[in-house]
Amino acid sequence: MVLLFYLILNGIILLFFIKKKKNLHILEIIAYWMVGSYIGENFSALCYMNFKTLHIPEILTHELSHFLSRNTIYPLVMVLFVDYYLTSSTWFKKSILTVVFVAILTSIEWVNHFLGVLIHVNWQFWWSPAIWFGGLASLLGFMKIFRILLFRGGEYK
Amino acid sequence: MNVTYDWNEWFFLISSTAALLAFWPIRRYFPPVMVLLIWIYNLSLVSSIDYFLIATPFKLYYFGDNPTYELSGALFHFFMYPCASLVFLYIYDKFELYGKKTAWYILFWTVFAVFYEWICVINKALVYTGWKILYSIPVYPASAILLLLFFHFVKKKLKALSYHWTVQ
Repeated sequence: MVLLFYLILNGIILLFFIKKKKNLHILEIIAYWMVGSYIGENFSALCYMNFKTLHIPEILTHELSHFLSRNTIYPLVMVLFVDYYLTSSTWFKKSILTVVFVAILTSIEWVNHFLGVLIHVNWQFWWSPAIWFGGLASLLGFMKIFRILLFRGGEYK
Repeated sequence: MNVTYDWNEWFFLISSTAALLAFWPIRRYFPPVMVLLIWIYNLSLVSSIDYFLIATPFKLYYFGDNPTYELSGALFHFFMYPCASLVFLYIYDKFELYGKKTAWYILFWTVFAVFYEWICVINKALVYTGWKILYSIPVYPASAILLLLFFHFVKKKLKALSYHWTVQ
């Protein structure tokens, strides 16, 4: 049942992303997706394996649900953030957008908790938005560098 | 976490440095954006697969002293795999190992990778808790094919962005 919920959620976000008119180059989408996935992966792995502040139950459907979360849902939301960020014209709009996406990512993380997929142990709630804010800021930093490299052209030497 | 700085940490450090040194002379062969894409492709793919197999419910192997996410393991992800992949692609592209040559080339790397994995196991850098080296044999050629597909896809897209592709 939990896995079915994640499959549906995954499908909805994926469908929305495919249908949405995007402002990103295909290589940008791939790059930001992979960086987003790496951020989600490291957050989960460090907290689960080292700090023990996150717990993943030893149930295959839950583990697969978490796998979907960190490889599709989190990165897709992060790519969507970058896509909207690039079209936001003012710093005010960019700030509001960041707050909204931090809230979305935090909500997904806590939906994981309430469904028993990724359980928080001795967790201060403010850590969640702080982590996702850090994640989005890192992705924006990466985007700046990546766009410079991607659109400057070049050749093999 | 119970990490001691012993031989397996040295092994990670030496391996990662060796991979970086192998990549260094060829670092300018590909455009920086290609290097970056191949780098993060490897980083995200390997860390994703490793975490899936190391964490619950599979717990098939772990890196280093115990099943935690060690800095030495992260170093491995960050330098070893991307550098090895870039060296793999450099030889493939530079010497135009296409067609039948690709199959032989992948076979050579598979043998090398399985041998290196065995070296990791005997040096206690990689500890199996359910995995067998036999399972790795189909993984390496599959990874190599995926890497080549990704490489060609990126190359095609970069060409469309007016990147000039000339081989010396």
